[in-house]
Amino acid sequence: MKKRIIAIIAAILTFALMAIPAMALDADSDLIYQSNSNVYDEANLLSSSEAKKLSQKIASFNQNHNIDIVVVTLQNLQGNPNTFAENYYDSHGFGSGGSNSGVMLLISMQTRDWVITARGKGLSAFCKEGREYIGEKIQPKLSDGDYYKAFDLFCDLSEDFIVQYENGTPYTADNLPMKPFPVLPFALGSVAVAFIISLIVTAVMKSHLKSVRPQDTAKYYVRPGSLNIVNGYEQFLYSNVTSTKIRSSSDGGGGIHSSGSSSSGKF
Amino acid sequence: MLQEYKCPCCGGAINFDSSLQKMKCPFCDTEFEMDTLKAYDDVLKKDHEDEMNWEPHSNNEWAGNEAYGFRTYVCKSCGGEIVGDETVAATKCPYCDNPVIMMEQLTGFLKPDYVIPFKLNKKDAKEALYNHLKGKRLLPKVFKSQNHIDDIKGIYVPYWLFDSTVDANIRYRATRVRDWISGDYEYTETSYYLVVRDGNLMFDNVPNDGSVKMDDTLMESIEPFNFAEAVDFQTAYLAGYLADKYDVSAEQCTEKINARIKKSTETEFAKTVLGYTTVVTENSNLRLHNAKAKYALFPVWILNTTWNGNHYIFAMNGQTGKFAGDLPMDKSIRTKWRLALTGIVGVALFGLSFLLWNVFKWGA
Repeated sequence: MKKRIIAIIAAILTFALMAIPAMALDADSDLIYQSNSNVYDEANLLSSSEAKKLSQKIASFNQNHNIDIVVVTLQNLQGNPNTFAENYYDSHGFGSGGSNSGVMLLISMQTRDWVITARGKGLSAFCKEGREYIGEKIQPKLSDGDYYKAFDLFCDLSEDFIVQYENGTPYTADNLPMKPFPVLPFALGSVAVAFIISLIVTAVMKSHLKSVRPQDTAKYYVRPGSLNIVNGYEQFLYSNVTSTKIRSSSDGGGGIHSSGSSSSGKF
Repeated sequence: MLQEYKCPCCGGAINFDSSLQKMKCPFCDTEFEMDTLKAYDDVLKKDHEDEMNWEPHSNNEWAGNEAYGFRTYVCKSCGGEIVGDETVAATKCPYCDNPVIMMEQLTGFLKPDYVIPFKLNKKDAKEALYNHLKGKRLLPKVFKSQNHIDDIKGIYVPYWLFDSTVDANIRYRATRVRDWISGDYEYTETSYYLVVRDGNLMFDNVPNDGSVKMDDTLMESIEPFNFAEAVDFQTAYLAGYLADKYDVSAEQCTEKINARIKKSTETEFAKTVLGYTTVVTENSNLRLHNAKAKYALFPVWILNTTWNGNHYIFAMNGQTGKFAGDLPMDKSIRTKWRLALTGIVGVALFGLSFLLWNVFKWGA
């Protein structure tokens, strides 16, 4: 009898535990759609806490600037990714101000496309090279499935581009953002490499001090032309075949297609 | 009789696989044609021990009073013995630099068959030492200035010279590698071959020094001597020089000589194995014919120096001028070089990476 009670309690507990996350997720995703107009995770790539963190970050930025940042994930898209993204942006009425200024990252899971679309003032802040630059940065993270990190990086880069535009010095093709030179790693690396080189050079110098070496061949004393092969043959024994997969070049960056206000590529 | 074959790949005993109608090794899964194994086994059966025997050297007797006037100088410190005529004033032992030398009656000095006369003199030897010290960056600075040559001695060093015709059967394991690409894969096929070379090769005057006191490696370092300039031995060549007494018999040298001949034979034969990616000697059987040893004196300048209480010995080939002798290293100079190189190269690398980062947009 006791056993049966324990079994029933265990079953109820298990059911309850399974149900809690599902309920929580439902509640959370509703929350995202209601309270935010900057993260549309239709492909469900983000956990609820990630989506919340990301949309809060974007919201606080969008409040103080008049170029909006939007992130959209979709299961699929039809037709040309650039055109699709531009239509999607317009039909959802993204962006701020009369010209709907904004920048949008849209990814489609089935076709594995990423698109960055800029509208209004966003077009001045995000030139073609700038969009391609951001695309190249986030593409490896998308390929690895680190979606949250990819979106987070997209936001950081976009904020940088927008602030730069607002300061009157937007990034252009010749003047893309550069990371500051990492002094310490390069200093340590240079010293380490230089030290190894110094060890090699001094070892060579040391070897010059040594001139006493044994002779283990009699090569000087072979009578020239005396070699006479009377019998020689070859016999095939066996062979091994090994194969290695070639890393196909399409695994890398791939081609980026840019149109008037969008840039897209595969991840 | 039950015939057992060994796998050429791993050496395990091999079985016939009835489903494949081939021989298949149960250990490494390599498959072979029956004929291949038979041929391989036939070659393996031919393996036997090397026959590398040398005829004993027939002693050349001194004629009349030829040896008259020679003295043996014996060093009481290291036991080294050298031979010279009465005119040589050997004041120091050429081996250990000890000044106490006793003069004794000549005994047991075998008459050499040949001698290569000195072509280079004492001045050449000094100059060669000077050149030897040049460009050696880690040599202690004071070595060159403080270093005084204690003693320069021209010594006829006894050598055994070995002549022989070598009959050899050599088996090589060779591989040929082929690469190709099909689809997403790159394939590498390694084919293993058994390569056999039977033939003969002649060696003339392979030298080995016959003096215990002379450092063998130092003497090998100044090889080769050009035997074409050797002449029949005449006592007159010894005038003004010292001669070492041989105290290593020809028989005692044969092990080293055989190893040198074997290695060179394998290398020379391998030069006829062409068209393979790798060639490794698997087995070689050598037999010597007309294997004779000759006794000769070769000219060597020996230079002794002392520095910081250590004794340094240099040798120069008295015929070709080839110079050898290990030099001391100054560890503090080495440390300075290391620090300087690390500093300069490090700054250069750092600057270069900074340039690449900004100009060539590594940071972009």
